[in-house]
Amino acid sequence: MTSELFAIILLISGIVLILLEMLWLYVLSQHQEEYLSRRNDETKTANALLDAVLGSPSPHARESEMRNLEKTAAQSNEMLLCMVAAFTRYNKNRDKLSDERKHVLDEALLRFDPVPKLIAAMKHENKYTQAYICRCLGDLKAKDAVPELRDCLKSKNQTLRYNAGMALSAIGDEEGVLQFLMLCENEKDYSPRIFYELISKYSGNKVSLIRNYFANEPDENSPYRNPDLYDQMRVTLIHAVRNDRLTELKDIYIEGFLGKLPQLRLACVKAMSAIGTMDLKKYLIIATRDKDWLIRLAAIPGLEKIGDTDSLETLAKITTDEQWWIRRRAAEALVRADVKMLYVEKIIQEYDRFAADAVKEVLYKM
Amino acid sequence: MIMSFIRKFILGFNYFCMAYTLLLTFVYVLQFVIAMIKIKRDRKEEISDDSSRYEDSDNLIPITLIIPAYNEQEHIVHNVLSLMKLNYPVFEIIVVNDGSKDNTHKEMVEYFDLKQIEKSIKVAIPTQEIQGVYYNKNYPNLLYIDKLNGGKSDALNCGINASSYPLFACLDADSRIERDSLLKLGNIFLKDSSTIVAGGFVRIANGSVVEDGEWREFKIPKKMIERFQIVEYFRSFLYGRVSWGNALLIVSGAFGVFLKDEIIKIGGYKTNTIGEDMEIIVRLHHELRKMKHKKDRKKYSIKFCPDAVCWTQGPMSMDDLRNQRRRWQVGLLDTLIHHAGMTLNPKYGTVGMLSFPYNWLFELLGAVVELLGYFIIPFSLLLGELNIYFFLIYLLITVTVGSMLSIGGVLLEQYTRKGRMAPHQTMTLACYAILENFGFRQILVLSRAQGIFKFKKLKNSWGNIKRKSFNED
Repeated sequence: MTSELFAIILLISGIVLILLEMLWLYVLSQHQEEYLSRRNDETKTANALLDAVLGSPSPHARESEMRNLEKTAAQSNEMLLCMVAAFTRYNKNRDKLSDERKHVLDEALLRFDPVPKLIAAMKHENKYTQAYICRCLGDLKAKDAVPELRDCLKSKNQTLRYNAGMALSAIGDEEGVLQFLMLCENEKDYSPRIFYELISKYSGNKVSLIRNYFANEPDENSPYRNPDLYDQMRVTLIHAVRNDRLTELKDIYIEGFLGKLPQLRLACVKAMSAIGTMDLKKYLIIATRDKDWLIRLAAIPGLEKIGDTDSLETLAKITTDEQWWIRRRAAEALVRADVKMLYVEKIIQEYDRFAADAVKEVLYKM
Repeated sequence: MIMSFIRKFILGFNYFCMAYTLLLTFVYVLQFVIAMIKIKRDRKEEISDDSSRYEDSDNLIPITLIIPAYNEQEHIVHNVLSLMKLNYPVFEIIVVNDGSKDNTHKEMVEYFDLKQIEKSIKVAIPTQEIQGVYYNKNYPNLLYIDKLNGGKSDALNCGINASSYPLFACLDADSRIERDSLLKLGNIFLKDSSTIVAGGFVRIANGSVVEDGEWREFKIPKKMIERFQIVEYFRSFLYGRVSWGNALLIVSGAFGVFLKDEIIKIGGYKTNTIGEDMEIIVRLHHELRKMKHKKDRKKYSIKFCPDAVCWTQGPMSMDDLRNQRRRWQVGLLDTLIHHAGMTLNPKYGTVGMLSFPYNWLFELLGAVVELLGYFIIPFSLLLGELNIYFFLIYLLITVTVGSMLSIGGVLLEQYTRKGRMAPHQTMTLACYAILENFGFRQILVLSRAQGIFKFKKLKNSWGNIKRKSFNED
C-alpha cells in the first residue's frame, strides 16, 4: 500500500513538475516575444521620429517634431538609447544626405543634446549597458563625457574598461587612451588586433600618442608595469600605425630596427616598408640580408614601392633566398615593380619553381 | 545453480541501472544549471557586444572557408554563392572537390567560369594528389581545387595547405552560415588570443524559412522526426556544448573556426576516421596538455558561441537518421579508443578527469546500458525479482526527469534566441520534448548501440543522407 501510494504521489509530482516547467516556458516565451516586439517598436519609433524631424517641411513643423522626439526619448533609458542609435546611424551615412538635411541633423543633435542624458543614464544601469553607453558616447565624440569614461577605465569589469577605452579613442582623448594602453599591458587575453582597432579609430594625433607612450617607460621598480609587457605594447602600436605611413615616426622606426628586440625590429621594418621612401632604402636593403627570415620578408614591400634600380636588383637577388616563401614574395614584388620586365623573364626561365610559379600566378591575376 | 546466478545478475543489473540513471540525471541537471548560468550571463553581455563594429574593419583576422565537396552537385554552387554574401571583411573560399563522381566539378567550373592556374601549394600536411587549381579573377576570393578522392579529412587538409589566412573554417557543402556568424566567431579570437578553436551552433533548418543562409522565419516542420531532431539539437548544443567550457571534446564539422598553425602543428585532420570533427579537438587537447609540467603547457581555449549559427538539413527519414546516429557513435568510439590514455589521467586536467569519463560512461555506453535495461528489467519483472511499484517509481523518475531536461533545452533556446519562436511554437516543441521519450529515444538508442556493435564494419563506411534544397518547402 505504501509503495502504491508513493508511486501515485510521484506520478502526480512528476506531472506537476512538468506542467510547472511548461508554464515557465510559456511565460518566458511570451515575455521574450513582447521584449522583441517592444525593441522593434522602439527602434521603429526612434527612426520614424528622426525621419519626421529631418523631413519636416517648415521650421514650425520641425519644432513640433523635435519636441515630440525629446518627449519620447525621456520615456525610458531604452528609448533614449534607441534614439541615440538612430542619430548615430544617420551620422554614419551623412555623406548620403543633402546639405540641408545634414544641417537639420546637426541642429537636431545639438538641440537633443544626448550626452548629459547618457551620462545620467549610466549611473542607473548594469555594467554591460554602461559599456554600450560608453560606445554611444564615443560615436557622438562626446568630449564632455571624458571624465566619466576615464572613470570607467578603473572598473573591475573588463568589458566596461574595453568599451570605455574604445570610446576615448573615438573621442581622441590622448590621456585616456594612454591610460587604457598602460592598463592593457597586463591584459594578456587581448589579441594585438584589438589595439590595431583602437588606434585605427583614434581621432586625435597619432604621432603624439605614440611618442608619448614610448616616452612613458615603466620604472624598473614599478610594481604595476612590466618592462617586457611594455615592449610588447610598443611592438603592437608600431604595427597598429604601420599603414598610416607616419613619416614623423621614422626616427623611432630606425632606432627600433637597429635595436636588439626581435619583435620590435620586425615591426619597424614593416613600418618602414609601408612608408617606402628613398631615405629608408638603405635600411630596407640591410634588412634583406638579415638572419631572421621574417625581417627579410618584411623588407620586400618597401623595396617594391621604391622600385629604383637598387631595389629591383635587391629583389631579384632575394628570389634565390633559402626560404621558399621569400623567393615567392620577392618574385611577386618584382612582377609588380619591374615595369620593363627585365628581371621577370629571367626568373620564369630559371630553375626556382616557386619563384617561377609565383610570377606566373601574379601575371595571371593582374 | 544457473537460475541463482541469473537471478543475482539480474538483481545486480537492476541496482546498477538505478545507480547509473541517478548519476546520469545528476550530471544532466548539473549541465543544465551551468548552461543556464552561462547563457543568462551571455544575454546580459549581449548589449555590449561590438562584433558588428568590426564589419568594415581591417583588424579582424582573415578567414579561409574550406568546403570539402564529394558528390555535391545540387548544393555546391548555391552554397558558394551564399558564402560570398557573408558579413566579414576579409575571407577567401576554397572548395575542394574530393574526386566527386557526379557533376560537382562541372557545376563549379561552368558556373564560375573557372580557369586552371599554376599555383604552388606548400604541402604542410600530406594529402592525395591535386589534379588542378582553378580561379577566376571576377571572383577574387574563390579558389577551387580538384583532387583525387581521399575522404573529407583529406580534402580539409588540402584546403588548409592552400589557404592564405591564419584562421580557417571547416564547412559542410550542404549547410548555410548566417550572415553575421563569422563576425561573431572572428571576434572571439580578438577578445581572447588564447582561442585556438571556436565552434558555432548547428541548427536544424527543416521547416524554417532560410534564404541564402539568413534565417527569416521559424516554422515547425511537418514531420515528427524533424520536430524531434530540433528538440534534440537544442539539448545537445545548449547543454552539451555550453556547459563543458574549455573541456569541450567536439566542435561540429559543419561549422567551426580554427587557428591554422595549431592544426598544422598536430598534423591536420586524421584521414581514416568518421568522426574527424571530434578527433581533431581531442587531439588538440592531447597534444597541448601532454607536457609533464604545467608551466610548459601553452594556455589555450576552445570556445562555443551559440550566437554563431549554421543551418543544416536534418535527416528526413528514419533510415537516414539511424544511419547518421550509427556513424556518430562509430566516430565517438574510434576517437575514445585512439586517445584512451587520456581517460582519468590527471595530466589532461578536466578533459581527462571529466570529459573523457563522461563520454565513455554516458555518451558511448549509455546506449548499451539503456538497451540492456529495456530487456532485462521487464525480464526481472517476469521473474518476480523486481517489485512492480519499485519499477514504476524508477520509470516515472526517469521519464519525468528526461522530459524536464528536454523541455530545459527548449527553455535555454528561448533565452538564446529571444522571441524568435512564437509561444505556441515553443509549446509545441515542449510537447515533443515529452513525446520523444516514447519511441523516438528508443529507436536512437538502438541505432547508437548498433554503431558500437558494428564498429569494425562501419568504421570505413560513408553515410549518404538525402536532403532537400533550402528553398524547397
